[in-house]
Amino acid sequence: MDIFQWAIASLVVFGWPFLLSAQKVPTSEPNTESSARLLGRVLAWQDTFPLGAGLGPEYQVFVFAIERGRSERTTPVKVAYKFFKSEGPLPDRFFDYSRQYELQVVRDAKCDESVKSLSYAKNVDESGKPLPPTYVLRFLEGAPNDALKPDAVLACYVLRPGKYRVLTQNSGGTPPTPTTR
Amino acid sequence: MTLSDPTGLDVTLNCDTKENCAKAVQDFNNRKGAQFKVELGKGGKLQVVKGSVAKDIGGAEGKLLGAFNDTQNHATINVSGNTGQFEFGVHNSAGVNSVDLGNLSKLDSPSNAGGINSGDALAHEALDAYYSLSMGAEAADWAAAALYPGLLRPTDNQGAWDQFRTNLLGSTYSSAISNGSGTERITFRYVTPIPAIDLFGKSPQAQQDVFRNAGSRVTGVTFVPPKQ
Repeated sequence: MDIFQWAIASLVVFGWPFLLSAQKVPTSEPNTESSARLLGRVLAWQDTFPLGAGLGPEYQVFVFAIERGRSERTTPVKVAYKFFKSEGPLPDRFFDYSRQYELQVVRDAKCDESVKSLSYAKNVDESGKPLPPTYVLRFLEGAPNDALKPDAVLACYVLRPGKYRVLTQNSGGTPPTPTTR
Repeated sequence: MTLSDPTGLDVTLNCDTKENCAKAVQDFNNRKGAQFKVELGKGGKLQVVKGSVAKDIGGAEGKLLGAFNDTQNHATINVSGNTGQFEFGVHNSAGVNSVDLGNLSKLDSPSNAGGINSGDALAHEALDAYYSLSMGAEAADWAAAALYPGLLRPTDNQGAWDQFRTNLLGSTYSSAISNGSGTERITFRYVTPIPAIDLFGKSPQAQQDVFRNAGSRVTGVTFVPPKQ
């Protein structure tokens, strides 16, 4: 059975409109497509700031390699981890290539992005004069750094707190903090 | 800031100073298309000014008034003049949000005409706190954003460096307004410039600590209309 079947197509029917009795709450979900289950490993995280300025959630971005059964071929995708201050960002131990994860995510084509765009941050000096861009993808220790083709556009998925679990972890121990290169 | 009162109005302003409470009320009453006004009641509680409610009140303003009149749920908004960080407003926990008046004031600058103003941002945070009493954080944010828009994920980030490129001074980035009315281009500066070496080889959380410890303030907001 193909583990990449996009399982739950409809979902995202939240119960919250029924929780308020005093007044009817408007429903304005910014961009919800379909939910999916992804199996694979974190390849790299995007070293960029800010994550958000409030008036909404914050986001951490990483690249996830979807694994297809026993095949060595993987499909990289962009994952935006969406969290509120009360929930906090992903812990450092999440960024461990030895861990195989199952992510319950929601597809969001509006944040699809090319590898090239995802990899570099623009810079300027104090006068606004452009400076060379900074490479901001941080590959995890042990992750193949040739898995991303610069012109490839990565499909984007949104991950929420608690919507992931570790399936397996390779032996050899886990570094206390993510080692990147 | 906590907006709540004994008659059932449910938003309480928990302010760091008396002056900031007064400023928050002034900002709140500066909502675009405001159809009622509030004033500071006893204990820092907000109450609707008598006779200020428009006869034909409806839409977002009607929902906001409804939240004030809900006797069952009480929301709190912590109001600070300067949190030391660049956020406009954040959701802290069920029923509690915080706002930074210094950052919010940048939303009222001429460069942001057409964008979210401080009053609408305060209304968003008040409703977010209110809705979060009865639903999850994400759903509450959506519900609040449907009435008073919020900001979507940061894009097009541009770091600002000193002339030697050894210290990170700040950043400018874009956040689309959730109702599609345009984009906010937001610039902030670190209170203490961050030496590049302090970020090198750091884990995600360690980097966040560096950014937070440096302190930051919004220095400018520019509204960018949607492309035609």
